[in-house]
Amino acid sequence: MDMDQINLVQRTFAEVIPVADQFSIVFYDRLFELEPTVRSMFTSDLAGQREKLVDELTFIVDHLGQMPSLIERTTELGRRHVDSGVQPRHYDLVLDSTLFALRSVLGERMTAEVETAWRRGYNLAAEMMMMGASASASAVIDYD
Amino acid sequence: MVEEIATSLAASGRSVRRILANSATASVPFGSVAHLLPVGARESADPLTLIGALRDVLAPAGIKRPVLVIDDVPLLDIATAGVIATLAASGEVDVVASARDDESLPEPLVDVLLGDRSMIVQLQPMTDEEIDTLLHLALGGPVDGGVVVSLRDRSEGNPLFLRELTRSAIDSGALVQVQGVWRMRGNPPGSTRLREVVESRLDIVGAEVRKALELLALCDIVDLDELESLVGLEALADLEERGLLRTLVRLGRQCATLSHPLHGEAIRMALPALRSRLLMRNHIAWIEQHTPATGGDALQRAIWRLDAGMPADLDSLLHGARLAAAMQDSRSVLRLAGPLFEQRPTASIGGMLGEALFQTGQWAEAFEVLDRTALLPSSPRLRVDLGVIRATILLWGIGDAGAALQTMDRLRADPEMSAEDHVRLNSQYASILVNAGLPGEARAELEAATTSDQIQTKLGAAVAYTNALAMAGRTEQAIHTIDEAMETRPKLGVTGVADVDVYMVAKAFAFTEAGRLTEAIEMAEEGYERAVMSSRPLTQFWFSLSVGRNNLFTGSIATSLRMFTSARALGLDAGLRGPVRSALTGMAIGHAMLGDLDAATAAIAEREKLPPFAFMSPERALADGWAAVARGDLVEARRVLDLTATEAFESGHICTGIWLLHDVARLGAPAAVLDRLVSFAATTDSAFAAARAAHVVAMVAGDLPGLVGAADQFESIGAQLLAGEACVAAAELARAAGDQRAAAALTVRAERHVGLCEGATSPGLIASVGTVEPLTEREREIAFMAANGLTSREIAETLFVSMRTVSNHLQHIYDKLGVRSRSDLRAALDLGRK
Repeated sequence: MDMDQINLVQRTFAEVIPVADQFSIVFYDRLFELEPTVRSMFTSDLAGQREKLVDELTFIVDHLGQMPSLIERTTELGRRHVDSGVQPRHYDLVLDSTLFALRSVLGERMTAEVETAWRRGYNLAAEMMMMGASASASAVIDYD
Repeated sequence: MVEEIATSLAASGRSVRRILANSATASVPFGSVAHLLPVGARESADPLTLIGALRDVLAPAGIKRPVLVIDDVPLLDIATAGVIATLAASGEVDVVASARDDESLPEPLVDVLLGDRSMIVQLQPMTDEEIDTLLHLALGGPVDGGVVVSLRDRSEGNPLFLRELTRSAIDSGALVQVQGVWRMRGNPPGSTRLREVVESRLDIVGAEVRKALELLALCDIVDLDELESLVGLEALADLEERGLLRTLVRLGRQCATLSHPLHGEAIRMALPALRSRLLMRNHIAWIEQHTPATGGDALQRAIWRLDAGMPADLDSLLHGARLAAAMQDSRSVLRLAGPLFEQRPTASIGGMLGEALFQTGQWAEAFEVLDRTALLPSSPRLRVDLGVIRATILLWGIGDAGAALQTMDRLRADPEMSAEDHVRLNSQYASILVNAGLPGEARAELEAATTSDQIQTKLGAAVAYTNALAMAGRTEQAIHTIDEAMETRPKLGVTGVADVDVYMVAKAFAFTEAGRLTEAIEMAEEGYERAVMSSRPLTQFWFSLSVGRNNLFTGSIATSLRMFTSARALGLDAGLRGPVRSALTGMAIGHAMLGDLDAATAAIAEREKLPPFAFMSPERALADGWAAVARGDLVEARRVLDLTATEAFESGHICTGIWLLHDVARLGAPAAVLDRLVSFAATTDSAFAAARAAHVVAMVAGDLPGLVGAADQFESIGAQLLAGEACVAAAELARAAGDQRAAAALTVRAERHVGLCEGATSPGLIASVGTVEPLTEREREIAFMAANGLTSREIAETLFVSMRTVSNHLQHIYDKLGVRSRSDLRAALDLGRK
């Protein structure tokens, strides 16, 4: 993703912040609709979970242009995800839910350009999280 | 990717063992795993001991179904591949392997890797989005859109190519980070070929440092100490930094290897022969000075010494050659036994070398070795082996069955032969008879061999016996014989895929003669694919012939022609000049049935220039017969088919004889062949022969239900063209009896059968009233309009064509449907629509 795309993600996310509650409610509704089984991965305190989501998103969006801190935060997040049973395929569902929630907030301002920028930003963060996840796997392999 | 799979499997609790195949050990029997074997086993000359030790290492007792992860599986040596194949087949291990699209898999593993139970993941080209994310991560910063497009266009989304291109763009200064964003400044290096991109990267390394890369390209894995003594630690660190080499620990020592096999390939291509020899000599000197020799390494060292043009340890070579021969790894046998035979010519080494030369299609060289070996002292058993190879080459390569039989005769007269040797000799003699076109004489001998206690003898005779039985129409016994052999084979422990292929060819043949065409085609197509995947042109040839012949029977004439044409090319390429006759016969039949007389004549002319080859030779008459049909000379066609049928019955080709007689009947003389055909068909258990007999009986008797019954039998076999002919004849009988309704229904059914025959024509499809030759799209359209009362002028105006064109079309339509007027046309089309 280039600087324009990073700026676009940051600009549009600024519009999300004032209505963060709406965003996160739509996000989780969508996610549980797509895959009801992931509901059990979350504690009963869904309100707290929604806050965490917005916090993490805020950090990632703010640091899209700063690789070292972005990598540190996302790989750690990925590691923790493994412990709560997150599978690689879940990342696609979260992408879908994120875009869905964004659309609900942005309406017509969610242009193709905005969507592409978000997709790229999300892929980047998701790949880093998965790298963190696979590094945490305590695998023992007999190398020859 | 393989790494990821290995890691996640290990994380889920499976026991994972990785095997790194590489080009240096690819032709060393058990070279890929030598370092894994216990020292004692490594030195063993007995393949079974080695296999046992390897099994213990790969699938240790007490660990439930370990996973073997093999990178670059095409570089795995054949012997190791054989052991892994048996472990995987018996469910003792699971296998994960990677291979590039353009590489062929080790033969023994083809089944395991491409079989029904395996999952094949084909890596798709990366999308722009994926490339963007990967570059962003790998380069550690945002990437300009132009970079993605430019690298995607050149790499076509291939991750490896992408990596090389990106590296090369950075090295050349084309890809730079400007204010935190990666941009393409000017053009990236222009090549669209991966190898050239790799070469351009290697060029940056200085000549001195390149030595290290060259040594790695030759030996794959090299001790770090040796590399350091060659170019210094700083240079090595630089190479690592550039992503050209990586380090690993092997047998407790720090070693290095190239980051990717592709680099090795590019370097080896550019390496002059003398320079590589020099590098190898220095390498050997270093090794011999710094590390102690141990079993598995001794063989590797001997091979390196050979490559360096230095005297190699003969015992190590012999040990390796024996292993390779036991594992049917002809390529390695050639590499090891060749130099060995020069320095220590013995009959057993000559035998190994001769066999390997034969297996790889180098017949002249094989003969030379066998001639030299014949002068050396040898045991009776070895003489049988040598004689069998010689006879096989004489028969298959040179097409001289007489000389092949003479070779066997000389051995049978050898007073030193034991009773056991004689059983083997007789079965070989009989196998040659089958392939020399005399299956009838061979059967008794083969029967004795397949009941022998000697499992090798038994298996050796099974294929010939199956063929002889199938030719005689004893198809049930033929299929039983080959099934039994296929089941017995794995008990020998050591597997060789050549056998499986040969068995599959024989089984497909037995299916065909039994009239189980669908199963025959399935088996032959599966075998064909295997042969293609494992680059085995010889069996590919036989499977092509089989598919071609079966499609001839189903009536898929164009497909059949295609397969025979491809068999011809494969056979000529593999030097099977005699057997190519069968392909040309098939081609001539196909061309003739599609109405191309010139092509059919050309195929026959080409066939007659080839050396004689008697295997299934009565079938040659079908080419001549159908070419005569294409010329319009049915009398000549019947003559040549009838004459050759007699030859076929006398030599034991019962099914072929029945086919020939049946074609005489189809070409207008059913009464002349009736008695012979029916009585021979009664001696077989073939559904195909039975259907042919029923067809001829009904033709002679003018028996409508009998013809319909024959059509049903042909249809259930899958013989569409013959079913179509039987329906056409039945329709005519119905029409003559005034039953228009039945006639129409039968005509429609005939059309359905013939519609599956890819344009085949035969006299039996042309009825006296009307034909089933299908109308073209345009003809159908015009016929429909005319039948619905449009005038020619109206049709011409509707279709924007001239009146003249419409008249021409109508003339064709009338000819094809055998009608004379528009009212007849309406009737014909109504019938057609019923």
